[in-house]
Amino acid sequence: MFPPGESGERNHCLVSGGRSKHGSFLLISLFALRLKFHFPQVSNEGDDFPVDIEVARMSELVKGMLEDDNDDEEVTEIPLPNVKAAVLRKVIEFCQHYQKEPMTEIEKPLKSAQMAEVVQKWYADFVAVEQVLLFELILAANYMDIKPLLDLTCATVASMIKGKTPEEIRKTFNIANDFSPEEEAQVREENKWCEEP
Amino acid sequence: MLTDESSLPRHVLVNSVLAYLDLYSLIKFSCTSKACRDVVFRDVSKARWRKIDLSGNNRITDEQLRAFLLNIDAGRNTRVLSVAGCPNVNGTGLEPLYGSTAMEDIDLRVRGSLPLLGESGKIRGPSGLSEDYVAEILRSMLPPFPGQHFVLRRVAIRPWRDDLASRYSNYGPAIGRFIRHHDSLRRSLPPSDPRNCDAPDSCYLCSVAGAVACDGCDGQYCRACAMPHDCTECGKRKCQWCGTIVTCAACGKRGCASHGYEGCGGCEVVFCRDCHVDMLDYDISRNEYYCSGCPPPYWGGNIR
Repeated sequence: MFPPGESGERNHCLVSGGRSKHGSFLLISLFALRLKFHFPQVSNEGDDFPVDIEVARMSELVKGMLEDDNDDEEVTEIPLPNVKAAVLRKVIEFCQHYQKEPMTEIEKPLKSAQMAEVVQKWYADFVAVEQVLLFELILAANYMDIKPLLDLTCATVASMIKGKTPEEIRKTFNIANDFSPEEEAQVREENKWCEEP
Repeated sequence: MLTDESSLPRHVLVNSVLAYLDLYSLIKFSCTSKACRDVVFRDVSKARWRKIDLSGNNRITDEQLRAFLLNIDAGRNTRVLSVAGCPNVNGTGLEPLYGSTAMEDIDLRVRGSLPLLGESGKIRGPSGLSEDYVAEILRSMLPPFPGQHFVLRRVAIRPWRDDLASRYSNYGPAIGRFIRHHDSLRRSLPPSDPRNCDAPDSCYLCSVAGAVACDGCDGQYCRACAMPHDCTECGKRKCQWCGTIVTCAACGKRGCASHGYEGCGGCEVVFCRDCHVDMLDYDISRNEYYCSGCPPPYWGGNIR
């Protein structure tokens, strides 16, 4: 379902301080209301990213885990399977910025193929990344249930389709044309009305 | 690859990515491969096909319309369809709608009903529809006798003319008979349903009070839904289906199109009978008027 992680390890989310042996994880201190992401695969020493709990709560997955966590243990583990450290870092970056400058709602259908024209510049720059990373962000946003990030990334993919010819779409997303020549001619003829004048 | 589950789960592609695409981009996406075609026409929610707006598309033909309506199973899924301003459609492409029990609102003003965006041609003259064929398809959406349930509430067809006393006579005979039948069925509907338009002063379309009665069909609509400005020349109030109130681009006067208003065959700017003599030039070979900014194509103009 998910593409393999950088190191093949599973990332985890932990509530409260401490280190995990299980790979990348998220640390939330219930008392200090701070959130930490820990990425042992980035460096052997491990990297901690302190994050406000409000930022972490943007993820419905983490929010649900925090609400369900009724035990008195200091540490709760939230698995984030196959979310790469680099992707998680981008997710946190998005969530942190969202707290400062909420993203405007993206209209459906898209009014423009330029993301800068449908959303603030910071968000347009944020998704100006390679297609592989963009798809991984979609998977992470979908798994962690972060709606604004899912909206932004999916709208970006849609903007890469909007206004393009079928051939250009194939090229952009590396889609194999499996129509026979006769089928393709028929499809092209049936849908000529969609083409720009 | 986009349709590969390992790179993008199908529900994300369908519900999140494709939801941002307009109809035209969605159809172009469906042309890229068989898998994409399946995603668009099989997996996309049927709600996506409820309202199909093709207005102003001057390329679509009946064969293409027919293929598209079949792909989306429009007979079952489409409730609102507009082919207004689609001059290459004569109605034979509507065949997949035969017997539809879903269609609520259909706009078949394929050409010549200014001031709709994208339409071109003369204000008067044939509607451009294959009358007998279209009337048969429309009749198949209605029950044969009054008192039976039906959902087709609104049919917009441009009349051939608008100067005869009987509204039905302004259409061709087949469409006229259909509209008469449609009106009689609508009148037979129980008034308890606010959509049936019998509540005093309430709009037939939105049920809001304060509706205005149309002098053409006696239907009651609010200004926002279907009642444009009153004609300043004859004082009549007509809904958007019974009359065409246009605004003179030179003097700003508003009036029925039948009071000598003429439109440019290129950009569709309309002038009243007092102004069009100065503002438009008549091209005898095309039987059209053109403004100074839109010379006919063979003069080197850029006509859509």
